Amino acid sequence: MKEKSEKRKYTKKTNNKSDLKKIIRSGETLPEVIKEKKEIELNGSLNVNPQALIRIALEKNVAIDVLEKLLSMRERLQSEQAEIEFRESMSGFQSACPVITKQKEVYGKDGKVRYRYAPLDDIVKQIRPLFEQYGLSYDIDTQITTNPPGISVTVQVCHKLGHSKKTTFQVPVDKDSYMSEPQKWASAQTFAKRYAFCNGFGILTGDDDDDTVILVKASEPPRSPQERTADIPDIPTEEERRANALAKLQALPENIKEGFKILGYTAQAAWMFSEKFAWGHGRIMKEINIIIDMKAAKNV
Amino acid sequence: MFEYNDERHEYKFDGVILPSVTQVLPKVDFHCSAEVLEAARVEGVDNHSKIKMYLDTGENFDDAYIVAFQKFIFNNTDTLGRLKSYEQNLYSVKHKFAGCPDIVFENAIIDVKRNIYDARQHALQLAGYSILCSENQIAKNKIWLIAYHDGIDFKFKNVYNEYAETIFLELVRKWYIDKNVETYFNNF
Repeated sequence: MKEKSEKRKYTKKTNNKSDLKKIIRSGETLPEVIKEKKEIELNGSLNVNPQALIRIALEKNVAIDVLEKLLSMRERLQSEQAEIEFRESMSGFQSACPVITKQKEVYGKDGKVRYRYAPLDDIVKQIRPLFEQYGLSYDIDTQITTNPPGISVTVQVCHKLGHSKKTTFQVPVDKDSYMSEPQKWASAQTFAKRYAFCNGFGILTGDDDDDTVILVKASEPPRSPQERTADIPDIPTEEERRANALAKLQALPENIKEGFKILGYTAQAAWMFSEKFAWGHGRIMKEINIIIDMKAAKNV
Repeated sequence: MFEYNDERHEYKFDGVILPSVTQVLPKVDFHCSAEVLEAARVEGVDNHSKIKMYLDTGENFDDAYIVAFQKFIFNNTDTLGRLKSYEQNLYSVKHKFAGCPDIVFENAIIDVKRNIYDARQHALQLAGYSILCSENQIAKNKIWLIAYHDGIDFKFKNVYNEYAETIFLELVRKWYIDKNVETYFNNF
């Protein structure tokens, strides 16, 4: 009678926990389970010690399917716990993460700084201590895509308890940029890695005059990682640079364009040629004429 | 009369199509995607254009590829001799073919490539150019260089082969035989 009473009591407590109900209904181990109930805490949030259940099950030689269910439950609970820990760690990491300073300068042909960026090495260097503090690590996987030809980089942010999250960033290779073929692929890869990494960790890169940035930020409410990621400053993409360069070439007078055609220069060569002569139409035309005359003289 | 159609990359003599040097060479299978092949082609065209621009102007345009090529030329001036021609269409009246060697120096013919894949194949191509240069009295030499940029410097390899010219002329004959056979079947 007492056993039946205990069973009813236990069943009532585990009303919504189908796995446990099945275990209990399996019968033979029920009294022992009840005896060990001090080790088992059941409440609305499913606060179970699955390890204890498994230990008991092993001691009592329960059926294999019961054991499998217990192992599965333990796995699920561990996974849920790992996700919770991961989110807490990421939250702590993002709060502690500084605005990464962009120190690498890219110069234009005129010697002026065109833009700045933070290379991945610099970013990692600045945040490495936080990885250990929050139990985070990362793995980078790079793949070549064919349609369109480009690079796809996946950054997997991992937590020490096993939960991880993947972020992918894909960049097409700009065929028409003014770089050699290996440079184009390397550029796309570096770019994709940097953005995938920053997106994965919710890292914000800022200008090197960060005094102003910090002052403004102090008066603003804290922002979500998504908002911060969206704020990553614009760096001209290869696509934009190509479009700008082509537009500049298209704007040249027709006689110059015809001259380049006669000389057999590709768009890349024509751009370099025009850059050399500072896009001065008169000068470019003069140089083209000299070359055409020189070639004609040789042929004569 | 010789003529060249730039858009169709076609050589003609008195209205009759002539094979180009690269057309008569045995076909090489590239085991890569069409996209990669196209990217390589575009890069090759750009690189040739840059070299042409350098030879036209003498300027290196602060471009790493041209600077490396300039260095290669400066370091080998004695070996190469004087520059005789570049990117010039040449025709063989005797053997009925045409071609456009990249650069012809007094002592060497240079073909610029992305890399070396088969010296025997390259030798056949340069043999064709050598025959053209010889017949057009531009140069006669036994230094056939394949020059390629390794990302930093220009490297080169002499692919001269004493049998290559003979084999190349056999290939020209084969091209005409194949063409005649094709015409025969098409008109049967």
